[in-house]
Amino acid sequence: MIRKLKLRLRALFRRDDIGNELTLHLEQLTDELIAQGLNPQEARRAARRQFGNLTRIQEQSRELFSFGLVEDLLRDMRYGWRSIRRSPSVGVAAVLSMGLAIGVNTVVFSLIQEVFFSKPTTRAAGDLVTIRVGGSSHASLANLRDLDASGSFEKVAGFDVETTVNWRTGDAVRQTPVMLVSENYFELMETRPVLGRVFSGGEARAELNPHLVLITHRLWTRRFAQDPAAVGRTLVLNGRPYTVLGVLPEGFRPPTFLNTLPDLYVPASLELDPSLLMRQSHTLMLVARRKAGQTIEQAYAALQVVANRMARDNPKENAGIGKSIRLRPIGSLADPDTAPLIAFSAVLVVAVFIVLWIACVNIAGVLIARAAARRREIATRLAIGASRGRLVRQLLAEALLLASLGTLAGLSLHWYLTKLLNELSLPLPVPIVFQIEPDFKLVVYAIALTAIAALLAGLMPAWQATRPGLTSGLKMEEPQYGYRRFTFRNGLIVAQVAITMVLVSVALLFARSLARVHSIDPGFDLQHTAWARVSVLSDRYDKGHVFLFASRALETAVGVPGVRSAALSETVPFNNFMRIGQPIQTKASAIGVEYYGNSVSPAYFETMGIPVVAGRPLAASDRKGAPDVVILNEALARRLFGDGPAVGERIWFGDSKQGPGVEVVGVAANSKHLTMGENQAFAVYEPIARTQPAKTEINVLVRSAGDPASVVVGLRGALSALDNTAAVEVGPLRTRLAFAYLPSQIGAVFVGSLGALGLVLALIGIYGAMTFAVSRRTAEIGIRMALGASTWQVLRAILGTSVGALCTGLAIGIGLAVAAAHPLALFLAEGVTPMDPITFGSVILICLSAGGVAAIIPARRVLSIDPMGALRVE
Amino acid sequence: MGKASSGEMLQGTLPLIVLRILYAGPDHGFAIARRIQVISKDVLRAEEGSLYPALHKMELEGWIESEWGITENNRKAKYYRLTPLGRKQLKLETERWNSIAAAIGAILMEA
Repeated sequence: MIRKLKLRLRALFRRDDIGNELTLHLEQLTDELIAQGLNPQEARRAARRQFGNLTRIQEQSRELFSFGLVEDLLRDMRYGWRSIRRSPSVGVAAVLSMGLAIGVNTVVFSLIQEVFFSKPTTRAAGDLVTIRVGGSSHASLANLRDLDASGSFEKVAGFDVETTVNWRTGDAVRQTPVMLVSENYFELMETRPVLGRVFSGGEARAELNPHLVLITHRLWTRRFAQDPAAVGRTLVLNGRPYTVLGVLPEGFRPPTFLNTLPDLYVPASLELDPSLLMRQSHTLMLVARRKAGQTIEQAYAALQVVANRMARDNPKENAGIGKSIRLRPIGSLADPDTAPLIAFSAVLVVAVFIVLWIACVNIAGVLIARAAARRREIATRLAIGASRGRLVRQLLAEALLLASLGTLAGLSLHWYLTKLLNELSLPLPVPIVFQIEPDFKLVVYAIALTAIAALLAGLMPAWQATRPGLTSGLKMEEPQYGYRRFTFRNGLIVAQVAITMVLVSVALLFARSLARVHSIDPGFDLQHTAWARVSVLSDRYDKGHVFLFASRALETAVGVPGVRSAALSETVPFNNFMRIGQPIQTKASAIGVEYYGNSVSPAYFETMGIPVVAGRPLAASDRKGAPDVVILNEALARRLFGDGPAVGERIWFGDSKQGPGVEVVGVAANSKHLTMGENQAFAVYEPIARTQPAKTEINVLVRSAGDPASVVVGLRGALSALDNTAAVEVGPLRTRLAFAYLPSQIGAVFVGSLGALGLVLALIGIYGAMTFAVSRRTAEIGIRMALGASTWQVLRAILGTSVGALCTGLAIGIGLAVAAAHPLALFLAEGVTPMDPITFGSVILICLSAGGVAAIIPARRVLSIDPMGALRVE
Repeated sequence: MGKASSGEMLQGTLPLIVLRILYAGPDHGFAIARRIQVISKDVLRAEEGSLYPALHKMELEGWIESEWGITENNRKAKYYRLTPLGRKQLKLETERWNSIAAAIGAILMEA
């Protein structure tokens, strides 16, 4: 097999071999004949006669050796290349269209592969499974160790990505996400660091409070400029020196889902989590390596046995642990949390395929135009016996050439875009990072796309071009003067416009949704507010002292120049929340409600700009020991007391009406708590001086006189000075809540740019088709003008069908877009429906004006035609 | 070309003859053609139109391999050489030919 291939390749590149051999034979024959006494000329002729048809023999042998298809293809591509070189602008437009389409297609492919299918960096990643026991996402370290010791798996380790540490560099302390790992984590992962070493199970035990940290290659590059001396340095985390033990390999990927990739890996320890050793304290997510040869089913059965035993051994803490167990291979998509992401990916995939389709239609347009111009050539070749298949192949080769060049351009775009994506840092509380590397799969995908594109773009024009009757082709007749209104080319315009409509409508829906989200009034002021979050270390403050520190922080904030008022708040809208579901009793009735609870200091309403519409705000006197008071929001007050006054009423939380109850002293206006989309959520505000929460995260909200950005520096300095181990993060509330807009922003950016891209591509296509229609019919225009047709009549005759096609496309497109937009309701902000009339109105307007712009230049060309010149075209 | 029909090859025997000739040593196309003519005392002629395609096909089958060399009168020529696979094929075809010849002979004697 290989030998044959080699011989064929040799024949392909050394075409003359066979020719040489035969010529030689001929010469020897001639020599012989001369020796027999013939004169050279006669000898040559005789040899020739004896030899027979040299070319036929040559071809016979060559066919034996050659890959006929490949050679034809190469020849056709060379031919195609020459014709592209002749009209480069058209070729460049086609290649760019295809490049953009292939670029976005491959980027989406890479993104999906990265987010859903990337494998953790470890030996035999397929052997890793995630485990859940007792229905809980996390498990305690004690249970982890029991599972590991059970011998049912090769190893069981744990990790957590929701932990943060306060990382001090210089004077700044930043709250930094870390990966908290069990001592045997890297032994399970079998990680080989690029520098230093990973920690071993012995030195990293939680009880030892190991002050060790591993850093990613990314951090090593950004922070330490790949300095080998970084290993052995110390990082001040939570006020303690942690030694950098090693640098993880480049692109290291832990078995977490959805690209949560922290830069620091620290062993779980009692210092970081004082409750770590308690069996009820679920701290770590479990990952296990199956034993060699163990199937998923066997592993599951083994887990069941161990879980049952663990439930027996610790009946109190592990109650019911064996009833709900789960064991899944790493990277399984079965997680219900991923459903919206998968749906969004599907939208992206459909959108990029539409873009690809539009690009294909553009190339098809170019090829049709070119094929029509070559009508006589094609008809001639058909007439002298070229097979139709051969000509179709030639046009396909041109499409393939354009598509291949486009793919090259597309891959450069891919390289650029993924570089941007890899450097992107999302304003999210979890460290979501992309590390997209081009790989073999991407190349295969790109090649597949190229082939599909070439077929889509080439087959129809090829079929079309080789169809017309021979005689009309030879006579350069245009077979569709006036009579056939629906031509293939117009069909392409219809399809292109319709598809573009779908894409643009979806893009506009997302954009509208984004605008909507931004225009929603959250019910509090975003213009003059800043938010400082101070995270203190739990081991530095006793329970009661955290609130004392918070009070000091509040006083400090009030003293910062430019600060008008400041308030403490247990929760910050969109950031964290307490949602409480319980009955609230009034004198008259008991009503079960779910509400957002918050504890705030007196100036909260003033600071946040939430009006107190009845009664009074909280006061300094509402504190521990004073009578219980609350403020309700309007929605809850109405729910509890109808249209009657709420202020002065007493309410009781919970099932019983014992004790004096709580007095409602005020009603605050409604505002948003968790999402922009929520509507009329219930809320209860309690005085923070009474509840005195012991949380180590203290939120200070500040109202500034002017731009909130102007107080950020002063605030950070003043608050940092209070405790040099505390992490202080300060910023305008507006920017710090930016991630609340992120889902709709991402949607709008992705789909919006695809929509714009599709529109531009379609514009090029329509322009091309119309220009072509004009140039093909120059002679006809000349005749019409010569016979006295008015400009308007000529325009209507020439561009009428194209405009008709445009309108047909619009009509079909609207139908398709309505159908396509329906499944998107999931991603749209409240108030924007998939049937949004404004969106569809603007889409029609945009597409019509785009069509108009595309038609202007061809129309001008019609008007500038000189009848005499036009008649002489042929 | 215009020799009597007796000079034409029997269907399918050309490869056998070429293999046998190359068994004696590597040779180029022209020499092979001449040798067929000489050894068969002008009874058999390998026409150029069938010789070269046959040579190329046999090369593709792996029975023979080729190499450019220099002829005795200083011309460049492509020399063909038997491969081990070709040797096996020669044995196979010889046996087949012998059995066919024997069978035909038997029929001619008996009938």
